[in-house]
Amino acid sequence: MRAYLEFAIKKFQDKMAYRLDFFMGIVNTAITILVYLCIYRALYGNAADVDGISYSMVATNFVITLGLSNAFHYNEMFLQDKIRDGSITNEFLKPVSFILRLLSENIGEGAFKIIFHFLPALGITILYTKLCPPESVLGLFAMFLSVVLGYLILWLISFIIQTWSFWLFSVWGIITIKNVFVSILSGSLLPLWFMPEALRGIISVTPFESIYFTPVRIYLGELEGMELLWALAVQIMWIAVLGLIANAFWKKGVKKLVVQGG
Amino acid sequence: MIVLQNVCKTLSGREVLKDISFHIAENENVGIIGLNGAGKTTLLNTIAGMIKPDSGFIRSGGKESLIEEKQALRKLAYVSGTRSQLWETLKVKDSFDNCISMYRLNRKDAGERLILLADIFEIRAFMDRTPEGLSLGERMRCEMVYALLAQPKILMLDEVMNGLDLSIKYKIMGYFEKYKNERRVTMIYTSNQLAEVEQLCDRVLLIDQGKLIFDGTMERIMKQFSPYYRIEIKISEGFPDFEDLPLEKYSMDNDGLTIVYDKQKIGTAQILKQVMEKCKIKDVKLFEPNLEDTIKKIYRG
Repeated sequence: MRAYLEFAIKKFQDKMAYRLDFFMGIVNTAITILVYLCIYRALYGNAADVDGISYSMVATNFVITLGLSNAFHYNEMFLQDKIRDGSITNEFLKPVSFILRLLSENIGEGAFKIIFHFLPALGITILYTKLCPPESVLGLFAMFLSVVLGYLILWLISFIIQTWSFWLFSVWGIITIKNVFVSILSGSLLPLWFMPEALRGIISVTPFESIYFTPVRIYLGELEGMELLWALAVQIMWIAVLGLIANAFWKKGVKKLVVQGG
Repeated sequence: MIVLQNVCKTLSGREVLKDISFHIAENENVGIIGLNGAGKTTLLNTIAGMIKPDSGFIRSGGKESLIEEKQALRKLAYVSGTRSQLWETLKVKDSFDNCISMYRLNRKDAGERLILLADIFEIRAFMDRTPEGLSLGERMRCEMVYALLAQPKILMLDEVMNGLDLSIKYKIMGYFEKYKNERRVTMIYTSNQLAEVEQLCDRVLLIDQGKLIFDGTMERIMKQFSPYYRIEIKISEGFPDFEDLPLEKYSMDNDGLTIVYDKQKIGTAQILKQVMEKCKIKDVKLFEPNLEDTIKKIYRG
């Protein structure tokens, strides 16, 4: 456990070393959020709400999903690069789980970006536009938990695709497609409220809804009581399912490499 | 305890391991020697579980595949010139720190051990750098410290002396000699230098083109296959006479004399004495037996 914590802290400190990256990250996140907010402001015009969804709700959805998706961005070619240059075999001999080690490092990086990119950008945004305040303190805590669970779902989807580089020459294309799917189906481009009923139905049985939309709904107070617990349970269920799949792919990939001789 | 039985492996169409069987007891020191491409590294990778044999039986520390058992991996350290245990992006000292937590070592003991090892391997000056900033020799020394820090039960050293300056090499060899005599570790040492293996290992496995062609003590290699020594003498005056000496062969051109001999039959001193009786010597060079000749002899014998 201690080793994994150290991986996360090391990555966090690593990121701190890059000052310019730090400032550019804030600017980048703030600009992304503000640009999208302007677009939505224009789309709303003078209407108080669209389909019962107010501008503040949409704005809040955007800040949380786009902010987080910026923060949760990391090098998804890591495994492919390691397999290509053969240094993946160095990892085999380490007495730690590769999956958990990589997760720890990415979490360290994500934590850095949340604290130093997302929160400052959020501060800038609040000066510019009014966001919905959290519904309740409990809801805020539930949201933090849900964000962590959502991150794990996002991470596992990415890792599963990364493991395909054991078989494929390049997974870059698939990762790009995946990212498009994530941004559309998780509601970070267009809030899921505005999706057609049929599409909403399909999305609700995929893990994508659990990534950003569940935390947003919890924050806005749309999910409470049993509904909230159920939404968290669904997130945990997806983590378990995707975790098993990720582990199976990883094991199979390692086995392939071991039979091939590294 | 390491057991291999009839292990075969073909990699990209080439038979790298051919029906290899041996058995290494706990705390034994075994040297694996062979020319480049003989299959030494593949053999070590197979023992570590990084390569799965096509056929045959393998157990290392009771496991079929070490790399699948994190608990068992904590008992293994594998140093190789072609692979790094240090984290590329971390300072060397941070890699050591990480080693301590990954191998779940006692922090105080490990810290003290690190101070000792850093002195012996003379790495203190560059522990603040990342591996990228180190020369091959410097990096190998750090790799060895990393491995020893983990206090493994199985220590595999794959051509680790490559790139080391002679003075530090002898110092490190001396350390390993002492270390193996404490008998708390199963050591497997590969090299293409007979002399290194002679100093460090009690038992030798000789691999040639994927086949195990000899398994026995170093003494037996020396006695049975007594590798040839070679001596080159530059003469300024006179003519030597070797009529009654049991030499393997000798040749002469201008003022240079090359003698190949078997140390079991005749000593170096005796040859020199014979030469000096008749001639004046300008210069003498002694060549230790090389692996190629030994392998040739084993095939013939």
